[in-house]
Amino acid sequence: MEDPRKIKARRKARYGDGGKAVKIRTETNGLRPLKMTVIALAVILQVALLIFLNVMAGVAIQVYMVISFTLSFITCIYCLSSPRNGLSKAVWVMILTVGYSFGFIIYILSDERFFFRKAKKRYNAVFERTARYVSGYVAPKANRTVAVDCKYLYSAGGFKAYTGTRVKYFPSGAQLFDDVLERLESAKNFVFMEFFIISDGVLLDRIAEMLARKVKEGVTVRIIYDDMGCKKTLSHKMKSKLLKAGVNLTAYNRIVPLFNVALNYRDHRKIIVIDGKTAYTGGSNLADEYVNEKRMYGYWKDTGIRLDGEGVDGFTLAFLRQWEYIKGSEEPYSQYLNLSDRYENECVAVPFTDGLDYKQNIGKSVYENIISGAKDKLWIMTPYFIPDEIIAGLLKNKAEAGVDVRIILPAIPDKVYAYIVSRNNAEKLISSGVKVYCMEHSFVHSKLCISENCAVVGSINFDLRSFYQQFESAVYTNDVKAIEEINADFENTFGKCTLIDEKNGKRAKIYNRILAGVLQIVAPLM
Amino acid sequence: MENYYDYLKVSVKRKRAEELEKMYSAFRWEIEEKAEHKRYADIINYTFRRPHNIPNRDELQYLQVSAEMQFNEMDKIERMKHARSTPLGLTLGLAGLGSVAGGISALRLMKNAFGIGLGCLFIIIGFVLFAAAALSSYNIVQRENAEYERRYREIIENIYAVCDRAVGLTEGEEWKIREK
Repeated sequence: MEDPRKIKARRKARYGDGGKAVKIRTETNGLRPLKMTVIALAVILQVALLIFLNVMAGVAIQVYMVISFTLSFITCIYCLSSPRNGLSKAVWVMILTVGYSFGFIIYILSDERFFFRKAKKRYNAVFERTARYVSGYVAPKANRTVAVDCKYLYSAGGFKAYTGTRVKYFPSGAQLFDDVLERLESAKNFVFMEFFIISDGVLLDRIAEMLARKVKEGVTVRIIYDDMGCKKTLSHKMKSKLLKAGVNLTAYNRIVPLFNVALNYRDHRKIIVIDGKTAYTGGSNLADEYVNEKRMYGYWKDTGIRLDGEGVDGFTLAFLRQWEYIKGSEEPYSQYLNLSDRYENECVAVPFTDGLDYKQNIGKSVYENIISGAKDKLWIMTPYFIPDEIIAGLLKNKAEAGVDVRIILPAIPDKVYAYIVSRNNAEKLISSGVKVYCMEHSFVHSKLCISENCAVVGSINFDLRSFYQQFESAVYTNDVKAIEEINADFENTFGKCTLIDEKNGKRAKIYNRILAGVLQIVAPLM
Repeated sequence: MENYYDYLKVSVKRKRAEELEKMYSAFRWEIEEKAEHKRYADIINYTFRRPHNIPNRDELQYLQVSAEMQFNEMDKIERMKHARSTPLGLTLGLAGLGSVAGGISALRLMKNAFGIGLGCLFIIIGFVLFAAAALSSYNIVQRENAEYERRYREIIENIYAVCDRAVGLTEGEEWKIREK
């Protein structure tokens, strides 16, 4: 062991007289100055980078502003030359000019010509392949107004005017679905259903049980549902139950954020086809509130229509095309068409559909034609009244010309903002002679339009979403019995309504009127 | 089509239970189950049933909704019964209390003639405010009670009128389900 005196001497030489304290030496050979230099250089570099970025960012923002302004200007011109309605163009131009730094991005994301182009190509391919199932035009034996409407429907979408078709009207969703359940009992070959909303509940349980039984009997069951419409209402449990039972279930336009930006285009159709012999359409979805099993907004007023006979082929074809578009698989349609009986009925029934698969806005045009052709009366029932300037102008002109124009709206709304705008739009027509009614204690979900010549019953609301953005279904008919029943339903409903006159319209609370004014700006986008 | 039962579940406050049962019986709902709420002793849960194929079902549904809305209105008017008298009475009473307290404080803290005078004045004002609270509340309560009685009778008559119409729509027995 080393001598302790030598250790002490060495310690003293190293650390001096305070030898009891132990000092740990880490720096050797001038590394400290080097470290300080590196740190100083790093700080100077960071500051320089920050200054550089600040200057560059300022330049970049200016460059971006110029580019975005130019792009927004080009987008404005593009928008103004588009086939959109005038109101929508005005709103978009306002958004593009006020929010020029981001407006063009929103416009591009919302325009179907950009993000729905592939879908349209696919639809065109399906339509081309199945064009042979659309027979040639045969002018119906009807008055001039009806004949013109039928010709339009054929020219615009290949929708045939069928005679030999029985038409039955239902003044409520409950009656419609009772009839559906009764008819399903005798289904033998296939059942097709297409709905915007399918909701867990008593009604779906009954329908699902019936469909499961039918699948066991060898009936092919296909259901299309809208993914957004059913997002909160159709549970995974029920989907699994239906799939396990053998039902072919598929969603339209699945919601896949980031990968699917065309989320605004929804399938609003309500179609049921049974064996190619019976078809239903109307306003009712497959949910309890539509049959008043569940109370949501007071009494739920809805309507529907049933076709038996050749006219069913119109809806069968529309469903099969939509199915082929979604699944991407081709099959011969002939096994599903021309299966119905022919009934003795000279009246016309034209089942038609609307959507982005067609070049024209068929539903809107049909309503315009009916309004233009009305000479005595024009009665409308709709949950939302957000028309474009053309339809509003036509209604005003008709009322001023002495036509009995009446609109029934709900007294209890489901969407407050849409209701405020709807009431505001309807009340603006009162001074022209249009009578506006609100059905007490009720939410009116019917989509009905009737004149002295014809009627349309279906899923098409009197609003811009139904006219421009949604897939819809309806029946145009001049069937005498159906029109009598629709008239009787209107008369019965008027008895439950309050007439809105200019006085009680103006008594609307001031903030509602201000809000309506603000919401009108975005109404074309609703 | 085979007939079956529709079911309806309703919860109601105990004091309104009898009125509710009478109302729903007019729409041909039968009581299948009646039980107290597990948590709230003043709430009763009902399960009603009615044959699905009852005649004029849509009209009955509409009338039922009208009656239910009127029924709910009864609770609403009861809650709003003293909507004016209570805040007025409280405001005047608290103002009076504040005034009396101020007067007593003035008497205790200010030992001069001015303090005694001010204190007495505030106390007198306080008692006047108490009297005003009592009198005005009494008058307004009388009017509110009369108004409530009038509205209540109106609602009951409306409900009876709707129920009478409902009973008229379901005459006969053929729609009833015969239990085997």
